[in-house]
Amino acid sequence: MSTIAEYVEARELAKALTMRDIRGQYKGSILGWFWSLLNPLTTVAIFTFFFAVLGMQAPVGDPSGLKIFALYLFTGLVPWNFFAASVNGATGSVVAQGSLISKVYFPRGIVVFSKISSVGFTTLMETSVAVILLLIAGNMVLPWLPVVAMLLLLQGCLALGIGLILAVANVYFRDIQYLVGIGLQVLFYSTPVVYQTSLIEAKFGARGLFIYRLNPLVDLIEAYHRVLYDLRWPDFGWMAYVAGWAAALLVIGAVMFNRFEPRLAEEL
Amino acid sequence: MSDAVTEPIASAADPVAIAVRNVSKQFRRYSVRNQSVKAALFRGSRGTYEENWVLDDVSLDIPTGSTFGLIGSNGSGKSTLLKCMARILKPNKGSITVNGRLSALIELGAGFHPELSGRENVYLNGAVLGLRRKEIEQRFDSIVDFAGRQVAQAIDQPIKTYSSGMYVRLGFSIAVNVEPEVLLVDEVLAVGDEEFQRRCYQRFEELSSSGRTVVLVSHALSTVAAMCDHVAWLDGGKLLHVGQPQQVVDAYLTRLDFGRPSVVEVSEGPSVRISDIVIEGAGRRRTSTELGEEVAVVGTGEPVRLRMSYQTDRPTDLPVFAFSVHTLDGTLAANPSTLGVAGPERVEGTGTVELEVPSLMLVPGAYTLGAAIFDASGEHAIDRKLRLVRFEVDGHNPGETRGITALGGRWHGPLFDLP
Repeated sequence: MSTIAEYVEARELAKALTMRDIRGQYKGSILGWFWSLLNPLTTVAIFTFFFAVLGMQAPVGDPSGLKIFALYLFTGLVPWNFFAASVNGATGSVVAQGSLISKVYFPRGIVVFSKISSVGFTTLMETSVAVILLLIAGNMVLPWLPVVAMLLLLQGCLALGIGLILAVANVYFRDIQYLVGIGLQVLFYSTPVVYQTSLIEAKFGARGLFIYRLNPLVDLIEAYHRVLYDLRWPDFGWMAYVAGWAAALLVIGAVMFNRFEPRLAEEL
Repeated sequence: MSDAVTEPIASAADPVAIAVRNVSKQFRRYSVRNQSVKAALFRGSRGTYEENWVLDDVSLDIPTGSTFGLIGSNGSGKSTLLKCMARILKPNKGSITVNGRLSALIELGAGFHPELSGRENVYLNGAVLGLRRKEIEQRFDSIVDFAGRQVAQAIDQPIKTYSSGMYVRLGFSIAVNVEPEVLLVDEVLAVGDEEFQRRCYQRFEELSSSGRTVVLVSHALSTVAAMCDHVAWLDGGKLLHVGQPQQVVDAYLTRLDFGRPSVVEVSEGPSVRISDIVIEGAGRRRTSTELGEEVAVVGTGEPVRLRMSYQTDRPTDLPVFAFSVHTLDGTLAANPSTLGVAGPERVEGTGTVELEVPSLMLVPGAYTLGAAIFDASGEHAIDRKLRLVRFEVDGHNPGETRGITALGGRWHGPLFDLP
């Protein structure tokens, strides 16, 4: 079991592993950094095209008045990708770093943490692109950036909690990785990334909407839409609910990870 | 540690770098392992396994500033003990206390990323070994220097372009420049060429002479004996022996060479002692470049006499005499004994035993000669002196220079026109 002091001590390693991940990711590829943007841009292009074919109306930002479907998608996809890639990456992180874990001692949680922070770095790049596009479209998002930073931080905590649990589980059961992939697909469509929550309310009523919002990702993603697309504050009550989830998962994750940590080197 | 012969290796004033207390470690050996949710659900268990004690109640103190060797055959638990010291593994029972900053060299270049440059990997590996960025910056030049010119020239190339030799040199160079207070080294020196190994050992000596503690797991017994000031011998997870290197290595070699338990029954002191070992060839001698002293030289195929002199404290019945010849890397080349062949019924006073070898069929090279005396059962070594006498073999047949044994044969065939 590693203490908090040990994690503080190992912060340089966390930084180095994060940098390794970031630098190593696109080394040797022609387009380099551009790849990290190509993925969300492609998704945006596909959805924009199909929704245009289906004749769907772009949501109107309130109070921003923005009415560009691609930007609505983009402001949802960037945080969604952050969530999906960090949970997915964190799940496999301990197994992927098996050779390091069985050869060197360090607080093992570093591996999960640095995976999430390297994904977070890509997210920051994507967020910057989103901000630039929003500014071009006339949305003055700059004053809202501190709120976005808070949201990203909250999301990072949520992903870390989930990641710690799944990373350990994946050491014992290697198909957890695949189950996570399936779970993320289900979550994608039960979270307002490509559609609006108002659709759920129209279809299932207020009660249906309430049940829908029990999924903490709903209001988390919704918050990005509100802050970046609509230019208004998120729902504070529901944000507290999301923060509660993040805190609970972080505690459960930390306890569980610490319990299994000493055995990781021999189980790998 | 019930049957271990433990000597006090640290005086009271000597602070202890690593204190190992009653450490036991168990591994699970799975016969069936269900490593997927699907399999575990269908079979209702995570697998069946046997519990296997790899370390069994080991206690020892490693004094600060010492160079400490861990020896033992494969599966004896020495690497597991090292990993427990490095905190990679957690003992099931007992405790290990380390005083000072520890760095473990279990794999060179742990965490190297093939796509990143040598420079980036130095920082990465340094962080893995517990260095801060500033500390790595301070050491960067000496790290690259130590790794050699080839690495220095390629320091900004991706590490995947490095040869395995360069990779290892860079990895080692980082590790020894960490300058930890306690350095654990596991067999990593088996890699690399001789020149590189020599520099590694030199570096370990520098570290230990500056008061740092080095713990070495190695199969290279001659190195362990030469470099370490304490050696521990693990066997089957138990600590068998801790003490002076030559003694422990000898005891271990006796077990290896003669295949018998080698812990000497010291209750009454040995009744027979080997007082001298001599190799007698045609009388040629020369100064060994490495040792700086004169050694006997024998030609391949020449006759030699191996002689041991003994001294008895009291009459001893049916002693068994044996010689052992080793190559310098520790391979047993020959091991003639009187067991079941010859031997006196009783020895008293002093005397000599001689083995006449009509032709010494060893290929040219340097060897060591040792001797041992066993009791009548052949089970217990009464005295043994291993690798005591160095001798060299030279030869005139350029066709037989490799391996250990010269066959001295004669070639036949259509292509040969031999004089």
